[in-house]
Amino acid sequence: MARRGVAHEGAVPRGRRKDPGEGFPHGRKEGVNPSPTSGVGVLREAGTGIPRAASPRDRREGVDPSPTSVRSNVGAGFTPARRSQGTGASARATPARRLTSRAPLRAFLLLFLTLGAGAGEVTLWHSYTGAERAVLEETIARAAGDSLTVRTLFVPFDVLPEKLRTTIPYGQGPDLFIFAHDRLGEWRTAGLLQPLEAPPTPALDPKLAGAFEADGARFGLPLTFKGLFLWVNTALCPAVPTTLEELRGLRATLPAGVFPLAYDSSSFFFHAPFFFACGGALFDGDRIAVFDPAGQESFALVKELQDGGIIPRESNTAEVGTLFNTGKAALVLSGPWFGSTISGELTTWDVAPLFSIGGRPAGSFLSVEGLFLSAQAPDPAAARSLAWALLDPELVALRSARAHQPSPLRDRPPARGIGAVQAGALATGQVTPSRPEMGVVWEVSNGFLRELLGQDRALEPAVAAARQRIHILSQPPPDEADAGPWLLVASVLLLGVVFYALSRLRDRKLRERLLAGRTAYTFSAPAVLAMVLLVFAPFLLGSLVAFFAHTDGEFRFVGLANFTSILFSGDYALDDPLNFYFTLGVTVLWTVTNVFLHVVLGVALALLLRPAWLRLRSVYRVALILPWAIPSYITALTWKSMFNRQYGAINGLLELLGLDAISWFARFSTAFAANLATNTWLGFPFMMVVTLGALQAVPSEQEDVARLAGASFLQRLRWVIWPHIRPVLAPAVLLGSVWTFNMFNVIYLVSGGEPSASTEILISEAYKWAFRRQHRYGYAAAYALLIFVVLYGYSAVQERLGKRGQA
Amino acid sequence: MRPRLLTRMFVHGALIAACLVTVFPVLWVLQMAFTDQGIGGALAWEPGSWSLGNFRTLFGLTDGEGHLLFWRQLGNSLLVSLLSAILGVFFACTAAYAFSRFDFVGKKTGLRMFLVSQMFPGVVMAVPLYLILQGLGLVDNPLGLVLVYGTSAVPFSAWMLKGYFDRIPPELEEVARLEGAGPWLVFRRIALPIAMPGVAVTFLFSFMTAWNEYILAATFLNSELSYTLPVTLQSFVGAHSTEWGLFAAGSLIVSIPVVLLFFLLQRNLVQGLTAGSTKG
Repeated sequence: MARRGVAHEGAVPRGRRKDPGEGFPHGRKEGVNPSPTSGVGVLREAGTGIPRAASPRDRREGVDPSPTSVRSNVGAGFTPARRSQGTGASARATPARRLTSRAPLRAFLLLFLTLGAGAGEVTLWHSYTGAERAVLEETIARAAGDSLTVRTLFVPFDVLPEKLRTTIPYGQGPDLFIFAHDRLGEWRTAGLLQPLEAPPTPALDPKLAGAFEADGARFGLPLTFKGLFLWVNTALCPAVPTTLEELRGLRATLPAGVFPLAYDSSSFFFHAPFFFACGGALFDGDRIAVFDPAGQESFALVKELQDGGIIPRESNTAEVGTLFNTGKAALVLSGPWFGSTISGELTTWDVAPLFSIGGRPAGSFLSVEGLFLSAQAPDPAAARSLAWALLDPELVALRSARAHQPSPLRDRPPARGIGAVQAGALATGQVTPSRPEMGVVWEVSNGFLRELLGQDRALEPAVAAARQRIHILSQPPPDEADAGPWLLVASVLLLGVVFYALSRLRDRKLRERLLAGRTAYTFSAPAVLAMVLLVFAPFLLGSLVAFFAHTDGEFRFVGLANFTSILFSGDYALDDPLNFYFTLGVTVLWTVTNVFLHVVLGVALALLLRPAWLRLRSVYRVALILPWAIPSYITALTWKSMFNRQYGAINGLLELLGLDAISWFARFSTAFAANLATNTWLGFPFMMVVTLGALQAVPSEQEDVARLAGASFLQRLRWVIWPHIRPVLAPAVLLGSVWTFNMFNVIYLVSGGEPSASTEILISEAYKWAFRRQHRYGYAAAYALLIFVVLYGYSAVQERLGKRGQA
Repeated sequence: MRPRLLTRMFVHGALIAACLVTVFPVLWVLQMAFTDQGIGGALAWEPGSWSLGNFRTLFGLTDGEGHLLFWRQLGNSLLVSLLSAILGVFFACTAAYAFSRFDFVGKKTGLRMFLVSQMFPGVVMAVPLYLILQGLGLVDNPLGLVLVYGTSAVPFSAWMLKGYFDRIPPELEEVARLEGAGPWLVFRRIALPIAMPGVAVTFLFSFMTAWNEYILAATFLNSELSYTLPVTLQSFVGAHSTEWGLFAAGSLIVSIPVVLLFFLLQRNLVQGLTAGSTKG
């Protein structure tokens, strides 16, 4: 029995327990709020929404019976790395260039020397951490031997895809990189890859190898894969159900409050076993077929499971872990990474293959992690030989022993333990398609599941809404426009500006004034130059993209089509979250409520800190500034977890007060409130500190006079204190509004746009278009420009109002 | 003059309540850092379960060639952030002084442009920025990051400092100028020392900008030995699961210098942010 072996592993003490992320937190902006840097903060890749480039940090070691059998180098008959010795052409451009800048002649000599020596060097980028990283580095060292120098670089998985896109076209990328296979389609069309043929031996599993094939060519080699299986609490469930009916039967045997099965039901990745078992297909030709009758059947099925108390309501990854660890869930549907979530105190656990549904096996998505050969690799032969060496059976065995990475080879699967269940997942699972349209599939089906299971929406209207969304998101990019007239207009404008400037320069008065400003220009030159170069130029260049459409790595000029389709599209109703005006409304509401709360709380606390008799003032002050000082990337996630339905601190507090627990992210109002609470916590210290300073300037005599005249506190506040705070707060409010308007972090980390993308603000919408929806950079840039226009208009209005107020 | 007991109790009560709210999530981070509880569980203070295990793991991280990463990256972070802060202070002070003291063609436009630059959404800027840095030969070079960070804090800092310089009475400088001091000397010896609180705040902001950023750092740098600390912190947030203990431990260490700076610069912060509203 496969399970017994693993139960034994369960007894091995584990060092620590970690909780999994909730959803897939990634791609966030730099931390401070309010940040003075929103001009440069860069939003990055989030991925399509499925787990990939995995990092299960499973510390249980020594599980495999034969980790010691691996010899210190690749088998004698298989030393492809050595072959690269003769290829010679591997002197890399980078070191050579660096040398050139110092002493050109010596560098050239050195360059030739290196060429002659023929030392191979391969750069490999990856996103593995923990045990996976350790074993990767060890296998690379063995595969490379003495002849090849391999430089590995860890890049956070949310940064790696965009880093590849940025660097490879300019020759700054790696030779090899490791990532999940599902980006293959977009990377290939973007020209980032070159073919990488399979080694003659050992034979690769055809299913896994096929994940890297496109148009008859092979663009990567599988290293390992990840699929879903069951984690079992054997104390609650001695006989693991093998069918859905047995799973239902479990309900009767378990105590109340214990769920037969828990999984992240709001994610289509985890729903997939139900989907495939019901005969669902993702695509019908080019059409997305997720919501066809077979798929609907699977959605109806899980809804019925939820209503029948078989699975918990609305559980995310973190809550699933807690349910399992506290004995509230008999089974968990998850992947190998779940092992690191299991608490050291829980010893009665095991793994098992997925149950079948209606006689059909439930297969999961398979995410295949593999090696890609970059298009820029100067020495493909050396890189390829390293890739081949990493597939040596002994190194494969080492990786599965140390990091539970199942083998990609066509060999006999292990008889027991995690390896056996993973082999089972491979047999029944489906390799995740790598078509770019998958981005739409993930976004729409995840949102649909949240509506169906979290908000209890009826199946039919939810399906209709999802179909409509698919229709909108898969619209083809606009047609190419004729650039001629535009170029003409642009050049006429440019000429006009030049002529105007020249004619102004002939004005003697102006020339004198310019000369008189010499000192000022000198003083401001460094900052202005840097700003032009590093802020304005990137923005202008980036904004130009708004007039183009990006598909498959190519940009086509489309004129104003992106703007018209954002501003005048009749596709969505005004209350559809994809409608620009809806998102604009949410953004304005978001900004106004935030800034209002920041100012009110900031001023109130500053006033409380003000009395001269107050003791412990500096203690209070430091405690109140804390939210500002601690990186928001961790505190925002902490806030998110406080809003968890089952275990969150906020719901705990509500229950203490005798109120009902709230599903915070199921409704717009509560999800918005959660975002607002987090950002208020992060943002009020800035206003408080600004006000504190302003208060110091209030002359105490004025106040004393007012007090003696019998003015109440509120009257003093209005007539003595407020006039001193107002002018100081005005610019802070302007800046605070601009920052809040573009406060991507909190939305992304806390609500993630839930429910149904309704709490999304403009900047996070732009981000989605750029990175989640088939890289529509043009559309995203158009959004960014519109954001800029809105903010510019706002600042102009505020400035005018401010002037009137002063006059 | 001490007010009534009731008033005092109200003020202290309100402040304590506010502090509880600000400190509560931080306690959570503390618990995650010192235990292996992760993020899901409730706050539970069992002293026995606390350990330094996460910190030990953090300090022991190595790269592919076995170099210890943590201290090295802490050093990188400190170096990059300090240089960014110094550069940011230089940019902001000179520009703010020019905008405050002199009248020149383009002054209004320039000031507005500083504000406008805060409105640029970052989503479109990464790739062009990379290209520009590459053109300057500053990719894979911490100096490139220093330049970007130093610049990105300028608009806010310059806005703040300009307010500060505005409050310095011009007569002070007039005297020096009559004695034959050049503009640079006047700036260095008279204006800058008076504006010190503002300068301190500028320093803090520029420092924090650089200190917490990781996306540009991970994109522009190509060696783990030159990464800054937040990049490694991000490595604990995985695709499938997050190492909350290590993430929290790292975040705590990352916040120590900033909290210290805040503490040291408290008074300056209060004065500086309000553009020296104490009248000269």
